[in-house]
Amino acid sequence: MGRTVLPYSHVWEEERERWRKFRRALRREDQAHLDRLFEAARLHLQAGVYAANPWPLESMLMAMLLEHQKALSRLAERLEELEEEKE
Amino acid sequence: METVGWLFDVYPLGDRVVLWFLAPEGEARRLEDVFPYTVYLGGPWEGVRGAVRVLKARGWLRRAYASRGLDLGSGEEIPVWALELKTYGHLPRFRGWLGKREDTLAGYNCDLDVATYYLYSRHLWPSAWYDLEARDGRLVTIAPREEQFARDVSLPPLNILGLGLTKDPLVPLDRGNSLTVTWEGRTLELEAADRAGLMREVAHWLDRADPDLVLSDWGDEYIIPCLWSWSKKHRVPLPLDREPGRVTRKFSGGRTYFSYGRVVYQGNAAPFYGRWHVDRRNSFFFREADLMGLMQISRLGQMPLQQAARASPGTLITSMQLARAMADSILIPWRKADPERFKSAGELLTVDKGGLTFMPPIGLHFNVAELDFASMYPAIMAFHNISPETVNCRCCKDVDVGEGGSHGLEARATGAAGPLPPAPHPLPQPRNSGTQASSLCSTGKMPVLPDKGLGGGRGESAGRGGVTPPLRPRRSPHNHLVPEAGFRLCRRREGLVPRTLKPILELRECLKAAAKAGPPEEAQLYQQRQNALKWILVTCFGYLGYKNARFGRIEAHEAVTAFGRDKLLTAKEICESRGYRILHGLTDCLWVQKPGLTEAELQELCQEISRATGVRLALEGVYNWIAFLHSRQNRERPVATRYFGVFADGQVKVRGLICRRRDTPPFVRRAQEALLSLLAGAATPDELARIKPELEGLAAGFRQRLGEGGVDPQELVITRVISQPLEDYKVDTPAALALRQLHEAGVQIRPGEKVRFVHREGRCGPKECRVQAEPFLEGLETYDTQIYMELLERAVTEVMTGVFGDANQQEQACLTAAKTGPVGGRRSLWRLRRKED
Repeated sequence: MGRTVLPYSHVWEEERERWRKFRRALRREDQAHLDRLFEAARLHLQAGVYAANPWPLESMLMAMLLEHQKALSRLAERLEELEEEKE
Repeated sequence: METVGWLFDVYPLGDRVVLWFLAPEGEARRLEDVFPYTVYLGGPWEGVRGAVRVLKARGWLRRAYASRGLDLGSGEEIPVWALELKTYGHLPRFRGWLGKREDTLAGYNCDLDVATYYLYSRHLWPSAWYDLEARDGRLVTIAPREEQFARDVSLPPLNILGLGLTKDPLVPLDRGNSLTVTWEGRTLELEAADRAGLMREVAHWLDRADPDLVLSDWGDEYIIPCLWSWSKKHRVPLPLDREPGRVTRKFSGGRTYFSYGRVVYQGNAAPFYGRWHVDRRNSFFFREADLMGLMQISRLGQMPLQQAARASPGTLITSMQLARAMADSILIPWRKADPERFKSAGELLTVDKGGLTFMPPIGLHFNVAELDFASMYPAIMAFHNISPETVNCRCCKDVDVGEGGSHGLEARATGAAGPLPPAPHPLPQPRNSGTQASSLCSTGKMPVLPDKGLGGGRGESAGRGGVTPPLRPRRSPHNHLVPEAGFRLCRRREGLVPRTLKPILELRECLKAAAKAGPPEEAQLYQQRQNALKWILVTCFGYLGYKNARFGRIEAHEAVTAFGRDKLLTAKEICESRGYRILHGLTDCLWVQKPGLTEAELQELCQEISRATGVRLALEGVYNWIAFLHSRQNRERPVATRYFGVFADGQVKVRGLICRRRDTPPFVRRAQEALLSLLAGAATPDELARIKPELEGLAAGFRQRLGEGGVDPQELVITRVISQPLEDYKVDTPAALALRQLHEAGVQIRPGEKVRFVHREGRCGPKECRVQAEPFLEGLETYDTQIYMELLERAVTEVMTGVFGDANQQEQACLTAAKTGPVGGRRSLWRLRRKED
């Protein structure tokens, strides 16, 4: 459609495609985790678009890390709650 | 003789322009006006004089004289030669001649439609009242009795004749189909023994009713071309036109083209002369905004109504810009030579993108409100003065915009003594319509544009004495420097696009306010008119970036999206600082969540954001609940444009669901809509849980009806657009099979047109029985229950999982996994691609 720059969601797909061989050699149970990582990166597409980083993988890795950080914080909070309940 | 008349129709005939007026009592009157088509030639003076000599020698010119006009790019006055062509017929020849000399001569105003050029030049607009003076059928003087952008309009009585078909237009008129005529509230089927008889019947009705408007279904594409060719063949006169002179008609058979990834078919046009013909099936604006909307755009676009009815919103906005340019004495370049500036890869990466799209959290949410920027892109263009000639303009090249952000810029603008207004609105207003409209509209209660209402005062007070304005935006919008891109915007001249847009934006706000205030029957008319304007505003942004657009330039387009992203993020930041959580954001709207949010508090928030961004943010509504759906391919992946919710007043808002798709069979659509309207009654989690059994009962009812087999085939019709000719279909898709059926029956369907069919015998049956195409549905008794059951199930699942989540995931997994699969399904990204490895 006359676009010069690929839309970020396509960039995301291309990046995923680039990791296809890597994924193929993973164990099946690990593949599912890799898929989830890429999905996590997709949750912050708008930030990737806005940042317009020439190396999109950087933005994607940052988004994956972000989701990890969120999960970690949730777990830590939950753990704290459980420990308090126990006491 | 002096009279009052309502400008009804305009068209060129020979070397004259014919105008039709309606008197207040409704009678039609024909007047002629002399209007020589004037083109302008610019370039090196010697070359131009030589060219004029050659053209004079060829006898193409009536008159030639030296003149002056404004150059669109620089805004400077340039000398040109004005050439009046002898007749309108000389225009194509002249263009052919000029085309070969484009490198030495610059042609202006060469490719305007004669009727619209006439309207622009005389400052006339259709569908409005005028004081007229005429002599011997010639127009002597004409003066408008009302404003072009008036909020309230009046019409003469219009005599309307309906024209339609009894069957699908694919069935020919002399083989089972017949014509219907609707007049004075009654519909009659025309009966005739043969073609000539039918022609006489039609002629009789046209004579008897003498309609001002023939409102047809399929008139452009089928009825009129067919009747016209029969009329020629059987020598039966057909009084389609009021024009007594000779008019010619050609029906080329339409054309198919490819636009934005879709194949589109554009059919014939069959306008009448001195009478209107509008084909409801061939008029985007009639569909969207009815007759009232059509008159509105014909008036604003200064384009004869029949042309406007068949035009796209893009053509209309271009026409408005042309009219504005002509009114401001700007010369219209023939072919634009304004290539895109070079950009580095990094710059391109930064600016070549659209609006921001967030990913909403999947599932059901309460305490959510939706905030929308009102006409965001047009408002940005008007507020920041974005136009092809104002982006990186030559005239402000040397003005240092400073490094210190908005403050530096403002200080500089304030200190400057020259004509450098700090805010876009005090720029010199063009001659007429704009100012008139604002004076008309500003009497209303509503603040019309943020730069006048909410942010008002800022520009002027800062400009005069540097006093701190009372309503200082928290973050002053950076008016003359585009965020991200860093383009400069002109500070001396107001651009053509903003000048065109401002009165439209203001009128639309007025109409919206009037629609809210008035009684229902009046409100509807205002609503139709504002709806027509909405489409024009929606399109005008796209036309900035469209390579064929006359007033388009990619940098202007990029500037608008860059401002848009900045404003959405500013809004997000303000919302968050006030304790709201951003659930979702989409280019110009935000969905925010906060426990116990109230409307008053939200209104205040909107005002604050409007002030900070310069674009009015409006509260679309507070939701009782809203559900964001996951992608069809992957249930863990959110999508930005699939959601549904219920506002506090019970209104349902649905996007991206099956019932919104055009190809969904009516039965499935109705089923989904029934579920949604039942859901609309429940506001709290408890209420939702309580009606779950009822919803399931409703769905079961639909399943049962479908399973029993008694559903009317019309309810099961699936519509598809044909993308290629029959011979190019390699796979027997249902659409291809339907196309073949029609082809075998002698019906031609061109790419871009639609086929409608019913699944008859499943995916494995004999090919000729799998689908049944319309119009061969009569008497069809069986249909493929399984395919429709799957469609129904998808519609039900969409709604149920949206609200109740994947609690019954096991069940649904069985239903949908086969089709889509979670990861690694048929459409998965991981699927092996052919070319690699």
